[in-house]
Amino acid sequence: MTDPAPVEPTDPKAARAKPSAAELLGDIGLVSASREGDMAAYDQLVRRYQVRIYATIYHMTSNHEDANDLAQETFIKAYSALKTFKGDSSFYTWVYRIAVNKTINFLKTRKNKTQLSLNDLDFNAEHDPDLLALVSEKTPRRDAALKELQEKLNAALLKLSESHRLVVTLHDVQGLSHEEIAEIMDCNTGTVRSRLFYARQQMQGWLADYLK
Amino acid sequence: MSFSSDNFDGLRKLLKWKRHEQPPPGCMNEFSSRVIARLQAGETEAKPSWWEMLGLEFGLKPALGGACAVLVGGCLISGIIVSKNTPNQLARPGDENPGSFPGPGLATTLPGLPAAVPENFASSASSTNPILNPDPSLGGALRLQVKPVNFTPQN
Repeated sequence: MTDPAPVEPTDPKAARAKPSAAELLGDIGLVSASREGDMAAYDQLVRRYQVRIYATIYHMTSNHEDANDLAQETFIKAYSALKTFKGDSSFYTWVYRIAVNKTINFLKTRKNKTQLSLNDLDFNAEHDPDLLALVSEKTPRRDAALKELQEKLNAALLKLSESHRLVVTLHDVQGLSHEEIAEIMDCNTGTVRSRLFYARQQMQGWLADYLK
Repeated sequence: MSFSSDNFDGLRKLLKWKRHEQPPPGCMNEFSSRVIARLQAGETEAKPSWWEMLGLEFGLKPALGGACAVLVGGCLISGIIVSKNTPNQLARPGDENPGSFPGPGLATTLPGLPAAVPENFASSASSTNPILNPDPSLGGALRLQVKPVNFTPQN
């Protein structure tokens, strides 16, 4: 598995600035520097993966505040466990695994206390032909329909078990391969495929009204 | 069994929607700074408590919690039962008969006790098995005498 391309900084000023030495290093170099206490190097690692880690946790919890807290805790835990990182897998997979374990533990303690705190849809959602086709026939008030569908979709995801939700999130939402998911979840690809199949089957039943 | 995704095209399109959900503006700008600030403040992963290290997180495993409670209760009850049934076995080093009282037999030297007191009488005594425990072998020497009382009024 290859390291994914670094995420572009969200701050436009930072994007224009000359890249720092830490920004030019690969993950392995940044991990080595971080182990020696170089916080700038670790800051760079966090910047590279913060969006994806946050997004994974958010799709698992459907709650912005929980996702933000858990993502921060993931990077704090990763920093204190850096000495145990042997480099057998990529840093990306390793930190993903920490995030997934943290999230699953959190969800077990939070059981039956689910509260949606959904993020807003970006501008592109209103112009995605696939999505508009799903809502345009249902109601003339498109905004309300989009919001309702977003809630239904998140509620359906929350009905899945943690392991099924995780597979759907990583594959169908985040676009990871079966092999990557198997490595993160510490199982084989057959298990990933079967979980994905059953999770989709269940969701298809719950969201049947929108999929006709 | 094949896990074909051909039948799930609609659902996959719907799930694409999740990619359009964005965190509040500016949320990610300060994210790494907050992580680094927490690390520099000395905050690390909270150390697990001893029961967590033993995998005894009862909040997550009620069945395990119940089993542990039964186990501890069982140990306590069996400990009490065993301590009641076990004779006092405190002995000094060098004692030939570790179960008996030190020195000459107590029962045979106390005045007033019949000579028929058995040899093992003293050894059967313990804090939970008092010396005045009714014993038929004492030949009735310590047996209580009960006299019936007549409550009928006398004229």
